Amino acid sequence: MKSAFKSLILKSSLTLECMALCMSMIALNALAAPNALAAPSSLSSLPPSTIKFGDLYKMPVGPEGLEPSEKLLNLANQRVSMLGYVVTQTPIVPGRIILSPLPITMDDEDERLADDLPATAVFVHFDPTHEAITQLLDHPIGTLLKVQGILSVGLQEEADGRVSTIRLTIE
Amino acid sequence: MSRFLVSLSLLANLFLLASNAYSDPLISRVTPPSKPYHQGQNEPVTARFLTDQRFDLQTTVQPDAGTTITQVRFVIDGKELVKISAQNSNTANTSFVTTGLVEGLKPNSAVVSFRGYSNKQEGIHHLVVEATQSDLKVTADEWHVFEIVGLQRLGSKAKNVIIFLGDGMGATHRTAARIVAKSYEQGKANGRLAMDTFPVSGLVMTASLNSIVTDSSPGMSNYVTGNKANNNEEGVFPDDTKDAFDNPRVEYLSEYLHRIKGTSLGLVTTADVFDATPAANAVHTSDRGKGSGIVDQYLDDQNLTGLRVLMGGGRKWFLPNASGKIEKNQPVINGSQRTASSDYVLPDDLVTGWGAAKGAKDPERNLIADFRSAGWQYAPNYSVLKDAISTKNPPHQLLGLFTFSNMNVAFDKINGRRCASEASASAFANGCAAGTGKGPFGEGIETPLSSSSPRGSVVHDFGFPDQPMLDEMTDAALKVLDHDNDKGFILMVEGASIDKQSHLMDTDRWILEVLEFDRAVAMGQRYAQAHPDTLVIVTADHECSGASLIGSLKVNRDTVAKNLASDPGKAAVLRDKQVGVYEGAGFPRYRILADGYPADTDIQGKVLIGYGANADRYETWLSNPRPTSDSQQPFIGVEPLNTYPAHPAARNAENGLFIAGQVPGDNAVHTGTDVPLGAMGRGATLFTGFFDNTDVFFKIGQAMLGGVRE
Ligand SMILES: [Zn+2]
Repeated sequence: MKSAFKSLILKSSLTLECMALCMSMIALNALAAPNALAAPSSLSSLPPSTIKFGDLYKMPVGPEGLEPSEKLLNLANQRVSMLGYVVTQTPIVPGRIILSPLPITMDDEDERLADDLPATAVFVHFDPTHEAITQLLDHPIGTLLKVQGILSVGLQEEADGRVSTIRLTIE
Repeated sequence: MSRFLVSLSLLANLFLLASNAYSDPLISRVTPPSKPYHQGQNEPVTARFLTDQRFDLQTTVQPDAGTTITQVRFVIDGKELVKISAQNSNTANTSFVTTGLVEGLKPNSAVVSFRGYSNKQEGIHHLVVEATQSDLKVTADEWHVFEIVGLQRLGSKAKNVIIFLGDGMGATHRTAARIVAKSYEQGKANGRLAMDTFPVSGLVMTASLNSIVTDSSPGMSNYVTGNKANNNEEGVFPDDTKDAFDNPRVEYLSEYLHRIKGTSLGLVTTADVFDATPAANAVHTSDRGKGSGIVDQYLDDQNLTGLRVLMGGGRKWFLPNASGKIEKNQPVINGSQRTASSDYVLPDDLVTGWGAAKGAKDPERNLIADFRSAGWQYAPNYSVLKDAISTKNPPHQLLGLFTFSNMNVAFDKINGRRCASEASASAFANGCAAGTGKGPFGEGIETPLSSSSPRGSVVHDFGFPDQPMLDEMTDAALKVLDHDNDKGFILMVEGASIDKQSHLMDTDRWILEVLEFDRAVAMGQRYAQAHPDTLVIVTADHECSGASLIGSLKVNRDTVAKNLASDPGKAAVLRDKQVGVYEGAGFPRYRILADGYPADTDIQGKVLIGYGANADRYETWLSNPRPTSDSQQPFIGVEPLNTYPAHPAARNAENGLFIAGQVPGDNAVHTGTDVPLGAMGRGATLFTGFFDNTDVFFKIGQAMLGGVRE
C-alpha cells in the first residue's frame, strides 16, 4: 500500500529499511524528491513513537482548558510521528505549518483568530529554506501529511502571534 | 444645483487646496471625520451623535522641517474648548503624542487628543483646529463639522432592545432557509421563518468609513455608535498612531444607555466571543484581532457597558498563559492563546476621559477566575448552562465559553446530538457508528483522527460534545437579563457562521446556520410578545458570498454520485443534466425532524446556490463531507483515514464541476449589497424604508429615549 505513494524523503541519510519502516519524515503526494535536510541528530536513529490527535489531551476538553495525557508528557522531547491535515493559512508563516486533525481553512482576513482551528492542532517547525516543505504551502489545501520530528510541549508565542501548545520540530 | 453654484463651490475647493498647500504646519487629520460642504453636495458628510453621546476630538499635525508643534487649539462654534501645548501635555483627558506614530508622517508630527467630549445642543457644530509650530507659524483648519441629532419627545419608550445579527445574511440566505424549513406549494410558502413575520421591514446600506464593502467590525459598530468605522476597527475613528487601543473613541449604545439610564448588556454569539461582531458592542480597538485585550476589557469595563451576559466560544483567551512556568514538574499545557502583544494598556488621557480601566499586559491572567471573583457564573457547557438558568434566581452575570475558538456549526452540533440519541441513531441506520461513512446529513461523516475519543461526530473531534444551540443560549441570556430588569437591557445575538460558512461556500452548512439563527429569533419574538416594551431588530452586518438561489437539484443523490464518477468535472452532465432552473426547479420538499432541522440535506430537488463573489471552487451540489473512499489521497488504508472535506478549492477537486473564481484568494468575500432588516415591538415603525446602517443607532435611540406614538 505504501509503495503506491510517491514518498518524499527529506533525509538522504535514511536507510531504505527505515523508509519502509517509518515512512520517512514527510510523505507527500506528487512531489519530486528534494535535497536533503540538515544532518540527522543522534535521536533520529531511533524509531519514532506514533501519537494521534485524540491521544494528546484528555477529552472532552475541561472547563479550565486542555489537560495533557500521560502519553503526551512521556513523549515530550522525543522523536514522534504524527499524521494530520496541513491547515490553509493566509498569510503563510515561513518555516511553520499547522497540522490539524481536520482539514481547516483559516481566513485571517475576515476572522483573525476567531477561527475553527481545533484546540489539538500541532505546530510544525522546519528550516524555512527547505524547498520541499516550503512547496507544501502552495499545495492544494487539505493535504494529509505525516510528520516526524522532536515533540515539545508548553505554551509558546509563534511568529504570527498565535500561541502553540505542542510543537514538532523537524530535525 | 445650478452651474453657477457648482463653479462657486469649485472655486472654494480650489481656494481650500491652495490655502492648505501654502500654509504650514499641515493639519492632516481632524476627528471626528467629516467632509465639508463641497462640490455637488447640499449637505455635509458628517459624524453624527446623540445628545450628550461621548466621543474624542483628535488631530494629526505635521510641522515644517526643523520645527516642532508647540500648541493645538480645539475651537467649537467659535469658542475655545481647550488649548493643548507640547509642554504640559498628557494631563487629565488630553494628550500630545509624538512617538509611536505611523510611517509616512513628517518628523516631529504630533497626534493631539481631547478625550470624552460631548455636546448637548442639537444641530450642526463647527469644529476648528488651530496648530502652532515652533517658528510661530499657525494653521487653522476651519472646515469641519459634526452634528448632534435631537430626539423627538413622543410617547412610550422601549425599555429593552434585542438585536439579532445574522452575520453575512443577505436576502438569499433568508429565502433559502425558508424554502428548506417551510416548503412552498403552488408558489406560496407553507409557512414563514420567525424573521419573516416581523411587521416592519427596511433595507440597509452597509458601507464602512473606508469601503463600499465592509467587514464585520464596522458592520456591527456602525449600528451601535451611529458613526462609520474603518474596516477592522470597532468603536473608534481611525488615527495615526500604531497602538490599537488608543484610537479616538465613540461611545457605544451600550455605554451611552448604561451611563444615562443603567441599562444592562448581553452578548451572545456562535463565534469566539472576541470576534468582531460581539466586540463591536463593547470594546474600542482599531485591530479586531487583539484577542487578549478585547476579552480583558469585557470584564474590566463592565461598569461602562453594563455587561451581564457573555456567551459563545473563545475559552482560549480566558486561560492563563504563564509561559515558561512549570507546574508539578511539567510546563503549563492548557491551550491558552493569551499574549502580551494582543493585550492592552490604555494611555492616561483615555482612562481619565472615559473612566476606563487602565489595563495591563498580563498574558498570565486567569480571566475565568477573575470573572468568577467579580460575581459571574461560568458555564463551560450546555449542561451547566441549563442548570444555571433552571432556578428561580438565575445568576446576575453569566459567562458561557463553550469551545476554544468558534463554536461548531449547527450542522455538526445537531449531528452530534442525533448521534448521541438512540432514537435518532436508529432512525439513520449506521448514522453515527464508527467507520461507516454515513451521517444524518447524508453520506460521509467519517471517524475522527483519534484512537480514544468517541467516534461519529465533529463535535467530539473538537473536544466539545456538549455545546448549546443559539436558541438555547438566547433563552438563557433572556432569563438572566430579565431577572432584576428594572432599567432595561440591550441583547445582541449573532449567528456568526452564516458568514463563516458562506465564505467557504458550504451551502448546506450556512442554510442550517440560518435555521439555527431563526430559532433564536423566535425566542426574542416570544419575549417581546410577553414584554411589549421591547424592540426587536433582525438584520445583517453585510451580505457574504453573493449568494443567489439558482434553482434545485433535478436528480437524486445516487445519480449525482454516479455522474461524478462517470463524468468527473463535465459541465454537460454535472451542470446541464442536474441543475433545474425555472419550472425545472419546482418546489423542494425537505423532511423536517422534531429537532427543527432537515432529516437529510441531499434530497432530490434540494435548493441550489450560486455564488457571485466566489473564489475558485469545485461544486458537486452535495453536502460536505462526502463519502471519502478517496483514492487520490495519500495514506489511504493507513489509519487514520482522510475522511473530512478539505478546503473548497481542493474539496471535490477530483470530480466536481470547476467554477472559476471572480475574486482572488481561497474564500468567497463579503459584498456591498444592501441587507434586509425586520423590526417588531415598541419603536418598530421607525425602521421602515431605506436607510444607512448608522441610522439604526438613532432609531434605537429614538425608541428608547424619545419614545414613539403607539
Ligand atoms: Zn465574513
